[in-house]
Amino acid sequence: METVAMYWESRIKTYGFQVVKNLSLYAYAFSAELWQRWKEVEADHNRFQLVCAQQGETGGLELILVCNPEQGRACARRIESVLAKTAGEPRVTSPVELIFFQGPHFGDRFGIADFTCRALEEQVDDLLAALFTSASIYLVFPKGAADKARDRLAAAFRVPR
Amino acid sequence: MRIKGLKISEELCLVRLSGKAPADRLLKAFCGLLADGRINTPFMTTACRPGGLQVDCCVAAADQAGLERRASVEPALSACLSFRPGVGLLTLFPHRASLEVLGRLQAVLAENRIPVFGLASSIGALTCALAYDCLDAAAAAVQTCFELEDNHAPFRAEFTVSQATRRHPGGRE
Repeated sequence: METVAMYWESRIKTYGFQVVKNLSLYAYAFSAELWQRWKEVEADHNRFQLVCAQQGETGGLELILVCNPEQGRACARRIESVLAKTAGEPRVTSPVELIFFQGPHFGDRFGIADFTCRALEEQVDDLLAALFTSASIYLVFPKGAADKARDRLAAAFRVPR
Repeated sequence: MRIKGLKISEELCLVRLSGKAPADRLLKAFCGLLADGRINTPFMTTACRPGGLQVDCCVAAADQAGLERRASVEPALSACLSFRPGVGLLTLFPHRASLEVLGRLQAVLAENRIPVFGLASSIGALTCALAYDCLDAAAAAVQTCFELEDNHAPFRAEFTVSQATRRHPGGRE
Protein backbone atom coordinates (compact mmCIF):
# COMPACT_ATOMS: atom_id res chain seq x y z
CA MET A 1 0.00 0.00 0.00
CA GLU A 2 1.29 3.44 -0.82
CA THR A 3 0.24 6.54 1.05
CA VAL A 4 1.10 9.88 -0.46
CA ALA A 5 1.31 12.71 2.02
CA MET A 6 1.62 16.42 1.45
CA TYR A 7 2.90 18.19 4.52
CA TRP A 8 4.82 21.38 4.13
CA GLU A 9 5.26 24.44 6.29
CA SER A 10 6.94 27.71 5.50
CA ARG A 11 8.27 27.50 9.03
CA ILE A 12 8.65 24.06 10.54
CA LYS A 13 6.51 23.60 13.60
CA THR A 14 7.77 22.10 16.85
CA TYR A 15 6.07 21.50 20.16
CA GLY A 16 8.74 23.50 22.01
CA PHE A 17 12.33 22.99 23.09
CA GLN A 18 13.36 21.28 26.30
CA VAL A 19 16.80 22.08 27.75
CA VAL A 20 18.39 19.98 30.48
CA LYS A 21 21.73 21.04 31.94
CA ASN A 22 24.29 19.52 34.30
CA LEU A 23 24.20 16.07 32.75
CA SER A 24 27.04 13.63 32.13
CA LEU A 25 27.88 11.71 28.97
CA TYR A 26 29.37 8.24 29.42
CA ALA A 27 30.79 6.42 26.40
CA TYR A 28 31.57 2.70 26.71
CA ALA A 29 33.04 0.33 24.14
CA PHE A 30 31.27 -3.01 24.56
CA SER A 31 31.84 -6.26 22.74
CA ALA A 32 28.74 -8.29 21.81
CA GLU A 33 29.65 -10.78 24.54
CA LEU A 34 29.60 -8.06 27.16
CA TRP A 35 26.07 -7.11 26.23
CA GLN A 36 24.96 -10.58 27.39
CA ARG A 37 26.18 -9.70 30.87
CA TRP A 38 24.61 -6.26 30.95
CA LYS A 39 21.56 -7.52 32.83
CA GLU A 40 23.89 -8.43 35.71
CA VAL A 41 24.60 -4.72 36.10
CA GLU A 42 21.27 -4.35 37.91
CA ALA A 43 20.54 -0.82 36.88
CA ASP A 44 17.84 -0.54 39.56
CA HIS A 45 15.84 2.60 39.14
CA ASN A 46 18.45 4.57 37.25
CA ARG A 47 17.10 6.63 34.41
CA PHE A 48 18.70 7.88 31.23
CA GLN A 49 18.01 11.06 29.30
CA LEU A 50 19.41 9.67 26.08
CA VAL A 51 21.01 6.45 24.95
CA CYS A 52 22.50 5.49 21.62
CA ALA A 53 25.01 3.02 20.27
CA GLN A 54 27.03 2.77 17.11
CA GLN A 55 29.03 -0.15 15.80
CA GLY A 56 32.75 0.47 15.83
CA GLU A 57 35.40 -0.80 13.45
CA THR A 58 36.00 -3.91 15.60
CA GLY A 59 32.32 -4.92 15.51
CA GLY A 60 31.57 -4.01 19.11
CA LEU A 61 29.14 -1.29 20.04
CA GLU A 62 30.05 2.03 21.56
CA LEU A 63 27.29 2.94 23.98
CA ILE A 64 26.61 6.59 24.73
CA LEU A 65 24.62 7.24 27.85
CA VAL A 66 23.51 10.71 28.93
CA CYS A 67 22.08 10.92 32.42
CA ASN A 68 22.34 12.92 35.58
CA PRO A 69 25.82 12.68 37.12
CA GLU A 70 24.80 10.84 40.31
CA GLN A 71 22.96 8.14 38.42
CA GLY A 72 25.73 7.96 35.86
CA ARG A 73 28.37 7.46 38.52
CA ALA A 74 26.29 4.77 40.24
CA CYS A 75 25.75 3.01 36.94
CA ALA A 76 29.44 3.27 36.07
CA ARG A 77 30.37 1.68 39.41
CA ARG A 78 28.03 -1.22 38.75
CA ILE A 79 29.32 -1.67 35.24
CA GLU A 80 32.86 -1.63 36.57
CA SER A 81 32.06 -4.22 39.26
CA VAL A 82 30.31 -6.61 36.88
CA LEU A 83 32.24 -6.08 33.71
CA ALA A 84 35.54 -5.07 35.29
CA LYS A 85 38.59 -5.03 33.07
CA THR A 86 36.74 -6.23 29.98
CA ALA A 87 34.54 -3.15 29.66
CA GLY A 88 37.35 -0.69 30.02
CA GLU A 89 37.14 2.80 31.37
CA PRO A 90 34.29 4.93 30.05
CA ARG A 91 35.02 8.20 28.33
CA VAL A 92 33.22 10.72 30.51
CA THR A 93 32.27 14.23 29.44
CA SER A 94 30.72 16.30 32.18
CA PRO A 95 28.86 18.54 32.45
CA VAL A 96 26.97 18.41 29.17
CA GLU A 97 23.71 20.04 28.10
CA LEU A 98 20.82 18.50 26.21
CA ILE A 99 18.21 20.04 23.94
CA PHE A 100 15.35 17.90 22.73
CA PHE A 101 12.25 18.62 20.75
CA GLN A 102 9.73 16.98 18.48
CA GLY A 103 7.46 17.98 15.69
CA PRO A 104 4.68 16.68 13.46
CA HIS A 105 5.75 13.78 11.23
CA PHE A 106 9.46 14.59 11.64
CA GLY A 107 10.22 10.91 11.11
CA ASP A 108 8.40 10.84 7.77
CA ARG A 109 9.74 14.04 6.25
CA PHE A 110 13.01 14.61 4.43
CA GLY A 111 15.16 17.61 5.25
CA ILE A 112 14.48 17.96 8.98
CA ALA A 113 18.06 17.08 9.97
CA ASP A 114 19.41 19.40 7.27
CA PHE A 115 17.20 22.24 8.50
CA THR A 116 18.35 21.66 12.08
CA CYS A 117 22.04 21.73 11.09
CA ARG A 118 21.55 24.92 9.10
CA ALA A 119 19.78 26.56 12.03
CA LEU A 120 22.66 25.69 14.35
CA GLU A 121 25.19 27.27 11.96
CA GLU A 122 28.74 26.80 13.26
CA GLN A 123 27.44 25.27 16.51
CA VAL A 124 27.12 21.97 14.63
CA ASP A 125 30.82 21.71 15.33
CA ASP A 126 30.11 21.73 19.08
CA LEU A 127 27.76 18.74 18.93
CA LEU A 128 28.89 15.82 21.07
CA ALA A 129 26.01 13.61 19.93
CA ALA A 130 22.74 13.98 18.06
CA LEU A 131 19.78 11.66 17.53
CA PHE A 132 17.07 12.01 14.92
CA THR A 133 14.68 9.16 15.57
CA SER A 134 10.99 8.94 14.87
CA ALA A 135 9.53 12.41 15.47
CA SER A 136 12.12 13.54 18.02
CA ILE A 137 15.51 15.25 17.91
CA TYR A 138 18.09 15.17 20.71
CA LEU A 139 21.19 17.36 20.63
CA VAL A 140 24.02 17.08 23.18
CA PHE A 141 26.33 20.07 23.67
CA PRO A 142 29.21 20.93 25.98
CA LYS A 143 28.52 23.14 28.98
CA GLY A 144 27.42 26.65 28.08
CA ALA A 145 26.29 25.95 24.50
CA ALA A 146 22.64 24.94 24.90
CA ASP A 147 21.08 28.36 25.45
CA LYS A 148 22.62 29.83 22.34
CA ALA A 149 21.68 26.73 20.33
CA ARG A 150 18.10 26.89 21.61
CA ASP A 151 17.86 30.56 20.60
CA ARG A 152 19.04 29.71 17.10
CA LEU A 153 16.62 26.79 16.81
CA ALA A 154 13.75 28.88 18.18
CA ALA A 155 14.47 31.55 15.58
CA ALA A 156 14.36 29.00 12.77
CA PHE A 157 11.53 26.69 13.88
CA ARG A 158 8.02 27.79 14.77
CA VAL A 159 7.51 27.47 18.50
CA PRO A 160 4.08 27.29 20.17
CA ARG A 161 3.16 30.41 22.16
CA MET B 1 8.30 -6.50 32.65
CA ARG B 2 5.43 -5.16 30.57
CA ILE B 3 5.72 -3.07 27.44
CA LYS B 4 3.08 -1.61 25.17
CA GLY B 5 4.43 -2.63 21.83
CA LEU B 6 7.01 -3.69 19.30
CA LYS B 7 7.22 -2.28 15.80
CA ILE B 8 9.07 -3.76 12.84
CA SER B 9 10.15 -1.56 9.94
CA GLU B 10 10.29 -2.17 6.24
CA GLU B 11 13.65 -3.07 4.68
CA LEU B 12 16.21 -0.27 4.95
CA CYS B 13 19.84 0.45 4.18
CA LEU B 14 22.21 1.54 6.93
CA VAL B 15 24.46 4.34 5.74
CA ARG B 16 27.56 5.15 7.74
CA LEU B 17 29.54 8.36 7.48
CA SER B 18 32.85 8.40 9.32
CA GLY B 19 35.60 10.88 8.93
CA LYS B 20 38.06 13.20 10.58
CA ALA B 21 37.07 16.42 8.87
CA PRO B 22 35.39 19.03 11.07
CA ALA B 23 31.94 17.81 12.13
CA ASP B 24 30.47 21.06 10.92
CA ARG B 25 31.52 20.45 7.34
CA LEU B 26 30.91 16.68 7.16
CA LEU B 27 27.55 16.55 8.89
CA LYS B 28 26.17 19.55 7.05
CA ALA B 29 27.33 18.16 3.72
CA PHE B 30 25.79 14.77 4.44
CA CYS B 31 22.46 16.17 5.67
CA GLY B 32 22.41 18.48 2.66
CA LEU B 33 22.97 15.50 0.36
CA LEU B 34 20.03 13.65 1.91
CA ALA B 35 17.77 16.71 1.73
CA ASP B 36 18.68 17.47 -1.87
CA GLY B 37 17.82 13.88 -2.77
CA ARG B 38 14.51 14.16 -0.85
CA ILE B 39 15.67 11.17 1.16
CA ASN B 40 14.05 10.60 4.52
CA THR B 41 15.93 9.15 7.50
CA PRO B 42 13.76 7.47 10.13
CA PHE B 43 16.85 6.76 12.24
CA MET B 44 20.04 8.80 12.58
CA THR B 45 22.69 8.87 15.28
CA THR B 46 25.68 11.17 15.33
CA ALA B 47 28.61 10.87 17.71
CA CYS B 48 31.78 12.92 17.91
CA ARG B 49 34.74 11.02 19.30
CA PRO B 50 38.36 11.95 19.71
CA GLY B 51 39.01 10.06 16.46
CA GLY B 52 36.36 11.89 14.45
CA LEU B 53 32.70 11.93 13.58
CA GLN B 54 30.46 8.93 12.94
CA VAL B 55 26.94 9.22 11.60
CA ASP B 56 24.75 6.13 11.23
CA CYS B 57 21.45 6.53 9.47
CA CYS B 58 18.84 4.37 7.80
CA VAL B 59 17.26 5.16 4.47
CA ALA B 60 14.67 3.22 2.48
CA ALA B 61 16.23 0.37 0.51
CA ALA B 62 14.94 2.01 -2.66
CA ASP B 63 16.91 5.18 -1.88
CA GLN B 64 20.33 3.52 -1.63
CA ALA B 65 21.23 3.69 -5.31
CA GLY B 66 20.17 7.32 -5.59
CA LEU B 67 22.16 8.29 -2.54
CA GLU B 68 25.27 6.51 -3.82
CA ARG B 69 24.88 8.26 -7.16
CA ARG B 70 24.54 11.67 -5.53
CA ALA B 71 27.48 11.03 -3.23
CA SER B 72 29.70 9.93 -6.11
CA VAL B 73 29.89 13.49 -7.44
CA GLU B 74 31.39 14.63 -4.14
CA PRO B 75 34.49 12.44 -3.76
CA ALA B 76 35.50 13.86 -0.37
CA LEU B 77 32.12 12.90 1.07
CA SER B 78 31.79 9.68 -0.88
CA ALA B 79 35.09 8.41 0.54
CA CYS B 80 33.62 8.67 4.05
CA LEU B 81 30.45 6.69 3.27
CA SER B 82 29.69 3.00 3.54
CA PHE B 83 26.43 1.17 2.90
CA ARG B 84 24.94 -1.90 4.58
CA PRO B 85 21.79 -3.06 2.79
CA GLY B 86 19.31 -5.51 4.32
CA VAL B 87 18.79 -3.69 7.61
CA GLY B 88 15.58 -3.11 9.55
CA LEU B 89 14.48 -1.38 12.73
CA LEU B 90 12.94 -3.00 15.77
CA THR B 91 11.27 -0.45 18.04
CA LEU B 92 10.19 -1.19 21.59
CA PHE B 93 7.97 1.17 23.55
CA PRO B 94 7.80 2.64 26.06
CA HIS B 95 11.36 2.60 27.46
CA ARG B 96 10.40 4.59 30.58
CA ALA B 97 13.98 5.97 30.48
CA SER B 98 14.91 2.74 32.24
CA LEU B 99 18.40 1.30 32.08
CA GLU B 100 16.87 -2.04 33.01
CA VAL B 101 14.76 -2.00 29.84
CA LEU B 102 17.87 -1.17 27.82
CA GLY B 103 19.84 -3.94 29.52
CA ARG B 104 17.20 -6.59 29.06
CA LEU B 105 16.74 -5.71 25.40
CA GLN B 106 20.45 -5.79 24.61
CA ALA B 107 21.06 -8.93 26.65
CA VAL B 108 18.32 -10.94 24.97
CA LEU B 109 19.52 -9.91 21.51
CA ALA B 110 23.09 -10.86 22.43
CA GLU B 111 21.98 -14.21 23.91
CA ASN B 112 20.20 -15.01 20.66
CA ARG B 113 23.24 -13.95 18.64
CA ILE B 114 21.36 -11.21 16.85
CA PRO B 115 23.90 -8.52 15.97
CA VAL B 116 22.93 -4.95 16.74
CA PHE B 117 24.24 -2.40 14.25
CA GLY B 118 22.92 0.63 16.10
CA LEU B 119 20.59 1.82 18.81
CA ALA B 120 18.84 5.07 19.68
CA SER B 121 16.29 6.33 22.14
CA SER B 122 13.53 8.76 21.31
CA ILE B 123 11.08 10.33 23.70
CA GLY B 124 9.27 7.08 24.38
CA ALA B 125 10.91 4.30 22.40
CA LEU B 126 14.13 2.37 21.95
CA THR B 127 15.00 1.54 18.35
CA CYS B 128 17.58 -1.06 17.31
CA ALA B 129 19.03 -1.42 13.82
CA LEU B 130 19.29 -5.14 13.04
CA ALA B 131 19.64 -7.40 10.02
CA TYR B 132 16.29 -7.29 8.22
CA ASP B 133 16.14 -11.07 8.09
CA CYS B 134 16.49 -11.22 11.88
CA LEU B 135 13.62 -8.89 12.75
CA ASP B 136 11.00 -11.58 13.33
CA ALA B 137 13.40 -13.69 15.39
CA ALA B 138 14.39 -10.61 17.36
CA ALA B 139 10.75 -9.74 18.06
CA ALA B 140 10.13 -13.31 19.25
CA ALA B 141 13.22 -13.22 21.46
CA VAL B 142 12.24 -9.88 22.99
CA GLN B 143 8.87 -11.34 23.94
CA THR B 144 10.62 -13.96 26.07
CA CYS B 145 11.73 -11.27 28.49
CA PHE B 146 9.11 -8.55 28.00
CA GLU B 147 5.38 -9.09 28.27
CA LEU B 148 3.28 -7.29 25.72
CA GLU B 149 0.05 -5.78 26.96
CA ASP B 150 -3.08 -7.77 26.31
CA ASN B 151 -4.19 -8.02 22.71
CA HIS B 152 -0.98 -6.52 21.43
CA ALA B 153 1.38 -8.20 19.00
CA PRO B 154 4.48 -6.98 17.17
CA PHE B 155 3.31 -5.02 14.18
CA ARG B 156 5.01 -4.53 10.87
CA ALA B 157 4.82 -1.32 8.90
CA GLU B 158 2.22 -2.11 6.22
CA PHE B 159 2.70 1.12 4.37
CA THR B 160 5.31 3.79 4.07
CA VAL B 161 4.69 7.50 4.05
CA SER B 162 6.62 9.55 1.55
CA GLN B 163 6.42 13.25 0.97
CA ALA B 164 4.86 14.05 -2.37
CA THR B 165 6.02 17.64 -2.25
CA ARG B 166 9.44 18.49 -3.66
CA ARG B 167 9.61 21.68 -1.63
CA HIS B 168 12.13 21.62 1.17
CA PRO B 169 10.69 22.02 4.65
CA GLY B 170 11.16 25.49 6.04
CA GLY B 171 11.11 27.20 2.70
CA ARG B 172 14.58 26.32 1.37
CA GLU B 173 14.51 26.04 -2.43
